[in-house]
Amino acid sequence: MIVWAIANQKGGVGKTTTTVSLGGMLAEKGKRVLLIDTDPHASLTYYFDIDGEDGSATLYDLFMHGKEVDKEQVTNVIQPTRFENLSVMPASMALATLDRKLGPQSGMGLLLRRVRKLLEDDFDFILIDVPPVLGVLMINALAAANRVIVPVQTEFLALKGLDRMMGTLDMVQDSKGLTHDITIVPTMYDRRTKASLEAYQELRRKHGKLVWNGMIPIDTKFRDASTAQTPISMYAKGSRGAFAYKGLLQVLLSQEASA
Amino acid sequence: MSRDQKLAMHEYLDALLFDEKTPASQPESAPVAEKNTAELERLLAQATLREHEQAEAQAETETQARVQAEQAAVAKKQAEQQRLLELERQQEAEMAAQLEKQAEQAQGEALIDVPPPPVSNMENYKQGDFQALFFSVAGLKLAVPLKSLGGIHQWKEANTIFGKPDWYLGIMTNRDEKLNVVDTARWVMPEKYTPELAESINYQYLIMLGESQWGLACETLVTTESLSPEDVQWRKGEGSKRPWLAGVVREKMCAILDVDAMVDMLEKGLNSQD
Ligand SMILES: Nc1ncnc2c1ncn2[C@@H]1O[C@H](COP(=O)(O)OP(=O)(O)OP(=O)(O)O)[C@@H](O)[C@H]1O
Ligand SMILES: [Mg+2]
Repeated sequence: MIVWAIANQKGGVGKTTTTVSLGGMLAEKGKRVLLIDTDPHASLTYYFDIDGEDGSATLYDLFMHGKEVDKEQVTNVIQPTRFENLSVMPASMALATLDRKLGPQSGMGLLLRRVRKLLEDDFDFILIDVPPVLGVLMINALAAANRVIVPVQTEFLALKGLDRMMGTLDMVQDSKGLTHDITIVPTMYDRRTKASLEAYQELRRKHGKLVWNGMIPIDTKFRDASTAQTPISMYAKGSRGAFAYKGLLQVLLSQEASA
Repeated sequence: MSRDQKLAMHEYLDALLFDEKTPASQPESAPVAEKNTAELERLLAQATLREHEQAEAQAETETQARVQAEQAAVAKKQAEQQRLLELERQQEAEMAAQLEKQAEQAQGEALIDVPPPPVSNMENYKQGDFQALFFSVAGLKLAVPLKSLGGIHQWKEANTIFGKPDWYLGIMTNRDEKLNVVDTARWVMPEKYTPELAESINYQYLIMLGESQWGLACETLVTTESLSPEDVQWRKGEGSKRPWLAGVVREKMCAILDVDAMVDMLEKGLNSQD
């Protein structure tokens, strides 16, 4: 099983969009895909027209079950979407209280890792949409994933946020010897602005091979696709955005194969 | 981050990631070959302790064990390579199918970043990042900038026309269009074009050059990738011996085509060496 965490400590950089787009394409390829929403804002959950507040179980409940959560409890939280091969583990607002509620309780960072193990035979891919906050949810995602995909808006300020994220990854790797492959994905690239180009070049200069050799362009089709609650590859196959994510996925898959 | 802050972070992480039973740092499952090797090594170590006197027999076992371990490693590597190869092939096919479909659906529009003002000058590509389609013919990798790509067609046998250069495979009709098909391998490397090579080639697609009616036969569509001008070793412009060769993609040793120059040469009936 392959597990990707899509994370960046800066908000609004395209994390949810990246999770949905890659997940949608993998499902189209016939892979069994689970998208886990760990963001209390639950944008991914809403993307698939699931309501995390309607009383059905969410990721929050798994945290309440604690470290010894079992398979039935886990599968109970998973909901199908209207797309074949694509399931969602929804988030709810209550997730925002986790850090306060649990505190740095021993081992609570390993819950998603346990979930991963329990679902080993049920899914080919798990993609985790991570909130832009360093906390128990992000740590859970990082501990469960074998690769961290870091979307970065190609704009000067966003690069600062990336430094923080890279610092966190360093620390997690130091702390527990967790290792990840890292792929930095330039997003919202506006070819008409010099700022985009400069930010992109700066990224490449600073992070070299970690940066995907392509970029996700600004494309209004993303917003349309989200309004239509459909992954872009199914909503606008021929769009520039869909094409770019397809290229990214191809690179990721070949990297996984050689990892 | 100050030292105190760092310390606090480490404490926080240590607590969250602490687990008595399965330390996070321990790999969950070692690959089989590795396990076997480890097991062999353990047995070997035991044997050494117990049987001093049988040094020779032990050396024998050791050699065998090593041979076995090496064989296992080789087998594992081969299996891995095979798997990679298959994955690559599968991905290539998928990419190809997708490109094909897009080309068909949107008549090139989708493939091309922005509806094309055909870029008539290689110089434009030196100004900033651009996307290129990589394709291959007889093991040779070539690239065309997407903005200079006229379209991609599925392969159909061309109608042969006599009295034309040997690299001209004939005319392929697509709807009402008449497309001139170039035997790319023969055009690019006539010196290497042996009957055996010819026999081995299996053309699948026709890559249309810009707005022209010329298309290059190709075997596989490899990928599209974004390139920055620094990724390319550009040829010096005018008077170059091979005007069709815009440059070479450094890391891939792959030729980028100067589509306009190439169309010019094709119109004149020249091959790559003429
Ligand atoms: N390449 C793009 N082109 C145009 N719009 C985009 C692109 N990527 C994302 N968007 C839009 O930008 C907004 C933010 O994207 P998204 O929700 O994916 O970011 P996020 O990192 O998940 O944000 P948050 O930190 O709030 O969770 C959304 O409205 C989305 O539709
Ligand atoms: Mg989000």
